[in-house]
Amino acid sequence: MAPEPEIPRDSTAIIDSSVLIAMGGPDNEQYQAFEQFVKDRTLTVYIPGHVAEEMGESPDAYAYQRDRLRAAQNAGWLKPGRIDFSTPGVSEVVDKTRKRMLNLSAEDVTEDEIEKTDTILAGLAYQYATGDATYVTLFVSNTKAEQAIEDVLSAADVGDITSVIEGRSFIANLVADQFG
Amino acid sequence: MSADNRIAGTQTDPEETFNDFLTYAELLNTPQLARLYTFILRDGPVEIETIKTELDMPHSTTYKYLGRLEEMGVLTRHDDETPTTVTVEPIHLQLDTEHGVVTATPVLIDAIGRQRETEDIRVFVDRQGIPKLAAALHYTLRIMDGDFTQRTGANKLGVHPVEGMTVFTALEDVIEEAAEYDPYLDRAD
Repeated sequence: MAPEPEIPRDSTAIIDSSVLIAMGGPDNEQYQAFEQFVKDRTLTVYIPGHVAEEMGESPDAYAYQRDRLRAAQNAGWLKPGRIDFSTPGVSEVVDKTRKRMLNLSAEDVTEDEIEKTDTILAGLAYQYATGDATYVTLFVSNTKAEQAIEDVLSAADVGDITSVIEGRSFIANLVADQFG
Repeated sequence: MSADNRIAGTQTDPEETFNDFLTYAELLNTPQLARLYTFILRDGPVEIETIKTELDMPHSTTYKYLGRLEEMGVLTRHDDETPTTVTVEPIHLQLDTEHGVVTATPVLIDAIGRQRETEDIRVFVDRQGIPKLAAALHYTLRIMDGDFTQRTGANKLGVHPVEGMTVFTALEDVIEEAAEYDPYLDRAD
């Protein structure tokens, strides 16, 4: 199955930690497939500062996840992305994403269970889409984030230059295409 | 315990029910046995030689565990075939306690059996134990159903987001594959 929608060459991508987790380390074919894809499309890939911090604060037993982050950064294809709340519209997008996620979630989800890091992803995508990026692809970790962020970015009039994709299945498809 | 444990109109076999309960508990506490059980459930009927080769399990261990599954009453030997093949029954438990009702099915046994080969599951079980892995499986199914994000799931599970996202991602792989052999997966909530 071809990855959908088509990700334009020379565009911008933002990844959540779930992508790093699903990729595994540099020895894994998932990691290699994603790295190859990024190079082939000459994508600029960012990891939000909040996501990197979250990884940095994780229990020591998960140091191997931090190593994956570092490996991608050392290989030169992953850069830190910094959200700028002074960019017009960014804080509104973050706020709307929090509300949208709460609305779309099951009834037993409370507002304080909606994580800020999930909403920051939407804000950063909006910031890049209204800045220098020609197109922004956001790789998220689940269908709920995908749906909520997609709705908010569309309502903020950047729906045609952004796409939100579930990272784990995207990588599975890449592996099937490259190694299958 | 009173007469109401005899559910009207159903055939209750208390001995077999408790046997299922003990079998399930033993599978959860014995990762190698869990791995063997899942392999046979997925590929059965399967020859014993194939099990040894595919799982890279010594002869004596293989026969010890096959014998154990047979004693538990979940394994059937098909001696009429040459060479002999084996199959296992998918175990399905509905647990109703003061903490609520959960359904335990083969997919959790599969997750337990993967500890050797999947670091993400092994680290989680070492740190958090098997009940928490069962809870993680429950929340993974809800994440896949679109009930909430992985980070919200980590909050509900009471673990660090990275720990939650790591185990949810590993369990998503297990669940996707389990759809082929776990007939009760839809109800494993």
